[in-house]
Amino acid sequence: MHRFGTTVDHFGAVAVNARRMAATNPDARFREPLTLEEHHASRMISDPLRLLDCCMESDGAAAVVLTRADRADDLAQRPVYVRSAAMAADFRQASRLSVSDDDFASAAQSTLSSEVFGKAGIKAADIDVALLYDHFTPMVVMSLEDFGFCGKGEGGPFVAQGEIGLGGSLPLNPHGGHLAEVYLHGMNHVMEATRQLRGTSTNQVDDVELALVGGAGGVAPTTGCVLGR
Amino acid sequence: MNANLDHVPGLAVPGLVPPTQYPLTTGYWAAADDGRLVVQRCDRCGTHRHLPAPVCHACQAPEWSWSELSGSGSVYSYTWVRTALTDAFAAVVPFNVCVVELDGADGVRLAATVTDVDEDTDLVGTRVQAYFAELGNGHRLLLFAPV
Repeated sequence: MHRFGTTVDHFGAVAVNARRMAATNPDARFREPLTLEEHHASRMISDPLRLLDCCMESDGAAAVVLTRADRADDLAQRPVYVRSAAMAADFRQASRLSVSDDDFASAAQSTLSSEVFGKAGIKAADIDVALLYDHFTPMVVMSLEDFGFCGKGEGGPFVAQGEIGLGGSLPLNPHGGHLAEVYLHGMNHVMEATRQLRGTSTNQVDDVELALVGGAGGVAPTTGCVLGR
Repeated sequence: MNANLDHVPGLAVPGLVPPTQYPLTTGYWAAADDGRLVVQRCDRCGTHRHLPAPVCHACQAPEWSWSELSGSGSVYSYTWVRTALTDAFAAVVPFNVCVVELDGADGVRLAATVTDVDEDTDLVGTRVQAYFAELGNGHRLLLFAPV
């Protein structure tokens, strides 16, 4: 915020997007629409994080069945494929406070971005839908920058301009994410990526061929995968 | 309530758990109890580091010594905590947690509260000086104040 002029309106745009997506998801915990004003009126937790910038700890379960591609062909559900998976650290976690300016104002996912896109042989622009770990709204803004969907410091305007909506250049968390569907620590993001690739989401994006799932940002190491159909 | 902390706004924390010490950190707390700020410094290449680690991140040497710093620095980033995570903090919110970049320490930063500052002020860049306050549990806590 100090360096790039990112604002609480930008954080609020992430929260509003999550609720808008969740409105049509019958499995979502928070389906009521949210306005920026309501976001700004929620109580302060730790400046600048307000209540509605934070996801809610939840009980739940999710399972993913992994098997060989040739076996998956015979299963009842249409398979999706792991195009790449990676774990990477931009810095030593114990040094988190003493890292470079660029790493400090980041989700610690720039090395992961190179690894996960490199292994899949794709670029950020090839991703059709992103499932980014939204435990806190500012981390989504910085994840978008780290993965190269926008430039460094441009994540705020990117989300505020609607680029992460269903009609935007990068639909983000169409299930409502951790903020509005449920906080299953990324597993529900894997499930939504799978639904998007099968064409069975409640907020289906057109012609999804590649989906990015980003693990928890802000810590080292972090993880991610690209799923494809 | 600890009378020793009455002059420090927002930091008298009854029930605050004393620091867990282990070989890499005992020297830090011993110095703090003596009113001195120390961080590790590599014996081979001279690079400072913090939080304590067994090996130098710059040259991988395992030999190190405690290095006493002046305690001056600048606020790099900060937050104001307004919700108490445990009962011990219920009486002291709001308080700030600042990331302070220490002078003469190869960019080492640490987290601490800066006292005597206003909630409405942008603290980034504020010049601060370390001091230590009695916690009443046998230890002293690192704090900073503007200079």
